[in-house]
Amino acid sequence: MTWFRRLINLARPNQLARDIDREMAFHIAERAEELRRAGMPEGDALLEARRRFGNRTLLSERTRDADVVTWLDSVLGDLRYAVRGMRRSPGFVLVAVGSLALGIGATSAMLSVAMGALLGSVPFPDPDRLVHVWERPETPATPQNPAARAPASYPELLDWRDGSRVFVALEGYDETNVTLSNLGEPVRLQGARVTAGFLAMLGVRPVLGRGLARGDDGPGSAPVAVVSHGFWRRRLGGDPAAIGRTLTIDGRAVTVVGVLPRDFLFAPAGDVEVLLPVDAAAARTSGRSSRWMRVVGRLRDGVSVDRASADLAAIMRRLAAQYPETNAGRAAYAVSLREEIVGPVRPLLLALGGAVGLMLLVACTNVASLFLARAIARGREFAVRAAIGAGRGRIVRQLLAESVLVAAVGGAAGAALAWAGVAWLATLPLHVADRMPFLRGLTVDAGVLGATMAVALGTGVAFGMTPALHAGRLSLALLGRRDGVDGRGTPGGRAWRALIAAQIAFTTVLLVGAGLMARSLTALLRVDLGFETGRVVTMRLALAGSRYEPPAAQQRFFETLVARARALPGARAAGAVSNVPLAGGGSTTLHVDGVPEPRAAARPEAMLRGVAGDYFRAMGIRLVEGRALGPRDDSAAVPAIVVSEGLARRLFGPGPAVGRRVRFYASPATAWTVVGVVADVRAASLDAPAPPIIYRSHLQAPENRMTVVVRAAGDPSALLTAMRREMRTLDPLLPVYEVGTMAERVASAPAVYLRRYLLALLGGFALVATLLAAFGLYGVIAYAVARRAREMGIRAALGATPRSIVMLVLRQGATLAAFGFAAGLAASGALGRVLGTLLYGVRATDQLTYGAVAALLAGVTLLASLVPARRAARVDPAEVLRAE
Amino acid sequence: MTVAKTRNDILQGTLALLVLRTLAASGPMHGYAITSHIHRVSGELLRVEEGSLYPALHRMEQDGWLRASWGRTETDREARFYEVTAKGRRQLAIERESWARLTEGVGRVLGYA
Repeated sequence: MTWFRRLINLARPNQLARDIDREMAFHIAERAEELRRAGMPEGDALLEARRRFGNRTLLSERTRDADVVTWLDSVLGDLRYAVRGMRRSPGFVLVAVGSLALGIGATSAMLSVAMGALLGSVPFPDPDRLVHVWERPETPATPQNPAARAPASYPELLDWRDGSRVFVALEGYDETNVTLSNLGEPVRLQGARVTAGFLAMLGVRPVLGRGLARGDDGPGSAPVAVVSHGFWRRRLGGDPAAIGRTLTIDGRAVTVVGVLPRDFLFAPAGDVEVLLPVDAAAARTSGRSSRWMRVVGRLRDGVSVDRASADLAAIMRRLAAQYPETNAGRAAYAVSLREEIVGPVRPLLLALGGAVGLMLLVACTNVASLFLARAIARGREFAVRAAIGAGRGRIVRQLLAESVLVAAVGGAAGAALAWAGVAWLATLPLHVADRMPFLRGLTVDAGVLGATMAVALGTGVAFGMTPALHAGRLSLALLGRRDGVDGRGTPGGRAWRALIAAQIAFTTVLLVGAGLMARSLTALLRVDLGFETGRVVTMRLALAGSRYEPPAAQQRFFETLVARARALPGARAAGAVSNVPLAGGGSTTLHVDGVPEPRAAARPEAMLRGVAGDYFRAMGIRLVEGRALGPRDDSAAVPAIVVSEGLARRLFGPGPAVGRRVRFYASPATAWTVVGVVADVRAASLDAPAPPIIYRSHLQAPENRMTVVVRAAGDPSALLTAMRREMRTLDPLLPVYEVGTMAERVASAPAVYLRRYLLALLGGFALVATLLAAFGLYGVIAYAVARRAREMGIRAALGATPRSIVMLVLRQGATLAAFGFAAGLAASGALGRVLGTLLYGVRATDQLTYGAVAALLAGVTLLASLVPARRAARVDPAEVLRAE
Repeated sequence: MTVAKTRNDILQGTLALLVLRTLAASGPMHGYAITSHIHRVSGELLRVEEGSLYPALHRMEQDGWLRASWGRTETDREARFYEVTAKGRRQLAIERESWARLTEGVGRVLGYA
């Protein structure tokens, strides 16, 4: 009860003070009254009464202390004092809180993403038993296939299943796009064809219905599909009776038999909406060299990935002996599924992780130096406090209150920033995020946030306490001097300078990183793509359904479409291609007529493309030799091909390519004649060298999926609208997709986008770090100058010119910055390893970048030191000497 | 009390004893009346410093030995009156006993030849 009263009294200090005052006033009045009655005159009586009463203020306070929870009250007092102090120096608070928020926020967001990537990327039971299997021709990695891996064929999958003893299960998948046409407007769906046991192997249990079963891929079985949770919610309305409903997929009626769980995520296949069974019969007969299937397996307990690879290699050797035509020189190997998914992202994650790590260091250093600077500036205040009797503990408590206050605000801001950061990171453009589906629904990891906060706040609080260390060492004698504390020999001064130098070092690393990224990006964007991007629009269609089953129908459709597109006003040239540049694709082996056949392992490979209309002109691909393909290359004419320049050099040497003949191992009966050579195109990816490509007219090799390419004379978007209209008149039931310009495609290609992303982050961090370092530098130099004001005055009195004084100060700043820069340069050497493949066209020790960073830092140092330097030069020697 | 400048537990406990006894015997009083009473009844041997009195009164109130309320004096002035509680009376008995023991002990030591 009494404790309660005491707590309440904390909240009504004024009332309490008034009560006590009244009580005491009464006492004094009574005493005065008594004295008057004893004969003392009125004024004297009151005076005497007051004197006898004693120190009213002190008494009031002591009385009050009995009535409140004293320690809590004094803590609140400390906090109130701290808040007042903060209000007086808003700059300090702003920068300190800002640094903390940035450091905590950025680091927590980034590490949360990294943890999501590493942990969440394979959300299946026993994920480390899952491996991805790739094939590899026995030749060493070729430029067009740096990873030297290829999909397998269905018969090979069956052979592996039969022959291997280390796998519990081996299943295959293939990404595909299908058309859904019975739920409103026809749309393209992202999907995958999988073998029957795929879901069972992964350990996925559908939330509704069943997964795919053994019989679903048989020749006579009814077509079925399993849909994703998102699809079920969005397009089937979350209908609990969705099982049994029919979808029209690619023109055929398919029954829904299952719904996948919400957290299903098979990253290699992207964000699939529908899973369809592989047509086993068709796959079996497609032949051993038709390699389109990607294979995933589950290892038996205790089997290592290496052992699995060795096992597969043995099987492949047997197959090479058995089927030399298709399997000579091919090997296979396994790689952990987690590695497969995370591997490509790792350089980016490392780079980003490094960047935020540096950012955290900069933030901590900045906060530390801010507190240290403040401590040094308040050295006098704490000396006075100590002199009038404040114990160490009391001073420490006061400082703790201040540090905790700043830390609390900074921590809260940091947490908010972390949430925002994760939300932003999760909004990568769809096709980039497609490969990183673990970004979906990512939130800040509590553990990461806690750890980062602990680091940052710990630094703040630790450095906030530094004045307490000095309070003991400061003597009253020091107080007597006007300076208070000597700038050079200050206990904190050296530490402060070291912190600033460290900050400059970290800033250097960030700047170098940003510079290297900028150069990589510009180098990448200047790459000769081999095709034009300005004003080239694309639109993709996939023909499906019985209407387009006959190849002749497909050819007729595309011919018509291209002709209509060409006829549109605003179209300069129109064509179509099976896969636009940067869309990747598989490759096939070929053999040149009249040349001795090389070993199976050394067979030349090329990517195949089907073209229609005036594709090369529309895409701006230069014709080097011969002619382009045209309408006369139809089924009645000689089979004709156009090859890419690099391939032509490789196959035919310096001599003419036109007229030479080529056969494909997949269909060796037909001889294809080269009629033209075109420039190389970056068909696979911007930062990989141009692969060899062979173009065939779709009239001779029908395609059921093509992208229409049109070069616009004027506004591309108007042309796109017109093209859509044409499509609708031709066939309103066919959905169009991947509509846009080639310029957009290039800009959002992962090679470009990832680097731009990284550049934005690194650049932003580097900018903030530079600003912070500049302020820190300014602070430390300004303080040094202020402390050495007397010295400056003496120098001026002895004849030093203002200029020489300015140079003196500038030299101080330059020395400090030079130390920091040198340390930063040394650390930048490791950037090469961290950035790795992200660097393009530039070495990690690029001199231009280093030079630019040095110049920037020199400029910043100059600016930061200039103001204090000018102030030093303006010191009036007479005034300074007089004041001593 | 005017002689002893030092604050120690014995003196503080004595003050509590005196205040409790005063209030128990004479009913509710305000602070000034308490000092007057002690001063008079002790034959002017004891004078309570205001500096000690009010903090002590408030402390005793927090401890629950006294109850305080605002009231009016005979001269119709507003003053804070204190009265002893049941807990206070129990405390008074304890204080009396320890005082008796103290004086007995001191007396024996002083009387030792």
